Amino acid sequence: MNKGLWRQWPLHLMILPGLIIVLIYSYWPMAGIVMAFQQFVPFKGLFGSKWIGLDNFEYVFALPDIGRVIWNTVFIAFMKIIGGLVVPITIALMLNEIRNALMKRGIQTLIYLPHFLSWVILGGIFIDILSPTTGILNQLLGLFGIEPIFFLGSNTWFPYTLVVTDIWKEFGFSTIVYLAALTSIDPSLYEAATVDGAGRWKQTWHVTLPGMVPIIILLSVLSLGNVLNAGFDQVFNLYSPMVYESGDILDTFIYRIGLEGMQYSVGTAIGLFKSVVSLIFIVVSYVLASKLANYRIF
Amino acid sequence: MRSKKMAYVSLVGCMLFTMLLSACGGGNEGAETKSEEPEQIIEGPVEPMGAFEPAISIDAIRYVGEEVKFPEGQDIKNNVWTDLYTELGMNLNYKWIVTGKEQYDSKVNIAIASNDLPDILEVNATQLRQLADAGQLADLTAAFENYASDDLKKVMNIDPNALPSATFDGKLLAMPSTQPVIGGSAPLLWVRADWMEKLNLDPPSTIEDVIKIAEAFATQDPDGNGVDDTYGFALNKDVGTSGFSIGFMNGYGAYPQIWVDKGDGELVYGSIQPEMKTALASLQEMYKNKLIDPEFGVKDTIKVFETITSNKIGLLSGPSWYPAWPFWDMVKEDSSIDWVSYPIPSQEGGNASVQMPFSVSHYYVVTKGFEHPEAIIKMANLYYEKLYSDNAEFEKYGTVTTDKDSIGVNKYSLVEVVNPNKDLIRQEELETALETKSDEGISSAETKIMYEEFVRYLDGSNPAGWSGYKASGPDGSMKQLRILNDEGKVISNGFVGAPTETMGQRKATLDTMEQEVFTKIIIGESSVDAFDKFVEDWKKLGGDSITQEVNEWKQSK
Repeated sequence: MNKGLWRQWPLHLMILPGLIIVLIYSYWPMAGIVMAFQQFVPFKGLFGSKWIGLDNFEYVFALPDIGRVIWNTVFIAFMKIIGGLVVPITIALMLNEIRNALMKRGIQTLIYLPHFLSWVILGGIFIDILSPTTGILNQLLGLFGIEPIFFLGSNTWFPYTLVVTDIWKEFGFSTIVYLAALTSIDPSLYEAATVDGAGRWKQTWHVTLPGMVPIIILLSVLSLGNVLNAGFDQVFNLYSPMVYESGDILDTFIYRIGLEGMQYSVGTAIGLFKSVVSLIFIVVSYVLASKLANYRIF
Repeated sequence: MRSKKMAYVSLVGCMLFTMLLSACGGGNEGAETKSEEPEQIIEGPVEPMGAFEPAISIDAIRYVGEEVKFPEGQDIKNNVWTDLYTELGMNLNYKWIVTGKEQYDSKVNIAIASNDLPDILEVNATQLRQLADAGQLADLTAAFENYASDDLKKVMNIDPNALPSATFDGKLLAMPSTQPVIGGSAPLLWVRADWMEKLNLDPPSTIEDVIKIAEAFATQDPDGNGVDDTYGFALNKDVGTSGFSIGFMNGYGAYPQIWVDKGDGELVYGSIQPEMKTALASLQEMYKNKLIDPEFGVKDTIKVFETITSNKIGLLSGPSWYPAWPFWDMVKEDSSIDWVSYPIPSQEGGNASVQMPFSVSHYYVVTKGFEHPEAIIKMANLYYEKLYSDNAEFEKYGTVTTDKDSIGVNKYSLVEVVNPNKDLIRQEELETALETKSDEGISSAETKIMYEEFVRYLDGSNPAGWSGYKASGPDGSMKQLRILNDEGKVISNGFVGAPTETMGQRKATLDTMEQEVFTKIIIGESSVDAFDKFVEDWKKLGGDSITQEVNEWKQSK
């Protein structure tokens, strides 16, 4: 061990800058968590502010609407997590079957592009595309005799609109990750499968998918930590008072309460709540992953 | 945030408007200067424009608006204004500069939280209260009393709430930045004059007439394209916080989001008064009859402007500067389009009282320990002196005109203090000048330039003068506001300054509820009676204590 460490010291040295940055920007600010239990006044600082125990949490959970906000958050985030796994995997498998390299790369690049557009821009575009009177989507649906749907103004449709547009924007990125995983599968496994008489479908089922399991689990574990992150940028740019009922999420809720009113402690309290819940989810999903798929990060 | 977005839109609009029209001002009948015993002993003679000797160094922070441009050879740290400060022995040393007000606000919040403040900075009402409560601010009472020029004192006293809103326990802790809010936000009714003529409609004299015009615009194909693609009345998703809805509600005597005196001296919240229910019922009826864009609930102001400029809406309520933007965009493409403004009519006929926000949106403060708090007063003196006084050098410090461009260099000044009635005074002077065909009565060089633009607009050689003329011409929107103002029909928020304690905790929640309920009533998802439940909920969820706090605040003033 000591000998190994001695030999690897240049590598450890290279980690150091990254480690220092993580310590400064991720661990040091955690000291600020105490604000959640204080009535924080900037000039009194962390040590001078009054301790009020769990009052901030009580305040947040006594707010009217908190129930529906948490439900919306979990519902939207959960659907996004599921869709964000299923769609890219399917697309990656399909792309993997394309033999024309130019076409494969072309599609890959095209679906990756929306990832670079910000929601501020996309918000404006989607309001136009999804308009019930002039929007191109509803005109298309009209060709099939479907009545115009007010995607951004109806509480029935709004959460699904959020999920679909989010997946559309992001699936290209995850697809590339899965494609990368596919290239790492040993080609001799395919050769062996062919020798055993397996067709393309069976190869996919018995070689490709099992080969992808580690990366699928890794990404699922990571994404489960997002169960309370329903996507502030997107919701903020697409929602309106008409759809608060189905689209108001924790982040937009806190934005209105915490940032507009400068209630630092309340903002910290809800942030801490989100982190704790996310941590629980990550731990649970990791335990599940190590039990079910024998996958270990450590 | 929605209201912030709207404020930003109006701000941009105002800026465009001032860039087009430029500024003016001058003397104004103000209230008597409040006399307060200076506590500090001033040594030596006091000159409002006197230089510091030896020169002092001042730490400051600031933001630069996205629209600010610089002539060649100048930048934000090196320009006519910094030269002026240096001449007076004030060397500015910017600790940081950001682009845009929103970023600035959050950076100041961080600076406050980390106790890393410069000598001089701009803050909003909430930040001011925080700093004042924490005892971080220098007392400006004596400095203002001794150093403020007569002009500055006059301007500061036009809005009787301006100085009191910066006074804590009898001490003046900040310089309010007053702004011309009447011209910036008080709503008027804007109608497509060419459509009215085409459909043979009379100007509205009651709010019912407004709805009739809306009906005609929605159903009688005013644009003559043979397609039923027009709406009657513009509305955006910020119901109750954007000018589109505020003006219409004012017509019913409803004053959303502000505190009004119902006559007995007690302040009540405008959004929960019975008049609001009537206004909402009327909007619901209009929505049902397809006079309002069914998609208004997802559209922000810019999106609504698109509907307006694409000839789909010809009736809306909005501030006096709309001719500059968005109307001019249409008129310059098609000169057959014309817009006309009317004061918002009331239910019974005659002009309704309209609302405007408080004239102070931000403050300049000096942090405790800085030895020369009077520096900020001197800067404010300078701003007024160089731009609006008899000795103004507007061509140098206000707007610099080059071959290609005209650049608002007044934006480089660290402090900005504008006469709240600036727009009205300018209109009055222009009107007199046009009548007498002489610019003798005009008090500022800039208004003189505008007068020349008007003359050239009237003889046809300057079509771009349209928007200025629509606003500040003899029949312009500003004239109508001036009349309303003289009649006392422009009312301002009765509560000013930092939010009360319960407001800080509850306002965001209550505002959300208000917008949601109002929107649902308009689109018919809730019945009008949902308003009564809203009022009950509002009171229960903190509204009652806010009302109490607001009235306690009022008593203490």
